[in-house]
Amino acid sequence: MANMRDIRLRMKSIRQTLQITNAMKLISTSKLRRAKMQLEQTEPYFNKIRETMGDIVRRSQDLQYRYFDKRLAKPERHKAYLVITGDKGLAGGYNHNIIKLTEESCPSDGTGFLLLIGNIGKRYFLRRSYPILESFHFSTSVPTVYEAKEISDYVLEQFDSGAIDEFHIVFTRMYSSVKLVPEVLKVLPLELGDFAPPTGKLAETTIAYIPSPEAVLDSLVPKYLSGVVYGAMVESFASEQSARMTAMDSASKNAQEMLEVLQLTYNRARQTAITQEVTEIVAGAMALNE
Amino acid sequence: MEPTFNLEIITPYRVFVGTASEMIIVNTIDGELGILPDHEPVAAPIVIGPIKVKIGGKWKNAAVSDGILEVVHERVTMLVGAAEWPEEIDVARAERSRARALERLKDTTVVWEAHRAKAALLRAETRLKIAKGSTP
Repeated sequence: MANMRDIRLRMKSIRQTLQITNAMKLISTSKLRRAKMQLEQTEPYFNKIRETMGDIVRRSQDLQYRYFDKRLAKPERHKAYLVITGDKGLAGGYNHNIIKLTEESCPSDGTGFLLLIGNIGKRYFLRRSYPILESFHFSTSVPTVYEAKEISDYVLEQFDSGAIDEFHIVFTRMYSSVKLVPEVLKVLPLELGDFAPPTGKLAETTIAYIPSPEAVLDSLVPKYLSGVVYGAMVESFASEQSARMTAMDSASKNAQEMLEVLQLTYNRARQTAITQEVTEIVAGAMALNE
Repeated sequence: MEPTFNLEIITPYRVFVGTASEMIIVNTIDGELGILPDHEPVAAPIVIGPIKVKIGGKWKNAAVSDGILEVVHERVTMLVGAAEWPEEIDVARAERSRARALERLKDTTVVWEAHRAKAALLRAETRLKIAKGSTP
């Protein structure tokens, strides 16, 4: 009867895995909901900052502002990439897609630098040839504005000192729960085209900037940048949860299918065993009767 | 009824104020700025400190961290990192961060660390001042 026992053991282990995948799916679902809620809360703030910045930039076309400087004169332009991966695997192609995109877009001739968020990316790139500028470690819960500010302050410092000339973010954009697309977003230097021109009544008003447009921009840029970083972090986080949800959902489905098949095989094996036993008893009884 | 304007104070975590107001006094990097209805369009950076708002005939104090103020078309928008009413302030926490900032200010020799500590100290002191009910 070894066959029956084997099947039973196998079913038991599948059932345990199923419990784990099911739990992970539920956790991801609730984390995803929280991330979405938090993103919605912060949206008005960062949208408004973006608007105000666009306003200033559009009004003062001849503004020579340092974050618009493309530094074309420099012979070697250093590009920094903020790579956002998860801390854990088991999320389908989520982490892999980001790593692949990073390798495609980041120049490997020594002018590309990496800033890493997330354990998976860190472990992967530590063994590769890219210079790593910094890796940030945060808890696995929903990213906070504070964490984003820490990163953006660091990036601004590096940009100001001339250590980096460009700043990109590699993250996963979530178009819908099934359409997760890894993207590279160029953040610094700022471009006029990033900002929509003022519309309607706003376009006709002249605004006084106290003490100067530059000073207002000085206080806006760090907030704008932290907003962009934060948005990317939360969207990546939501994407990760969504990817994990989908992966765990199909894992649970597969486990259930396997259980069904195994149950059938088990029943058949049991039936065979019973038939055999009955045959043996009958045969034995008949032998006695003779 | 005094004339009013629409006041919006927005932080990353919530909409702090979204109501009609008669007057607001804030600290910009150039000093105090009072806004009444019909103010000219203006944008200015705000520094960490207390603000005063008049809503429904009553003055209220609040503590804000740095941000920006924009006045356009009878709409005053303030974007700040954090904002709290006196009753919301965690006095014990503010005391702790004040002590921590002082400690750090004493020890540090790095410029940016000193900057950060100073900002933290200012935030904590503003909170304490507002919580204790003294007027800005």
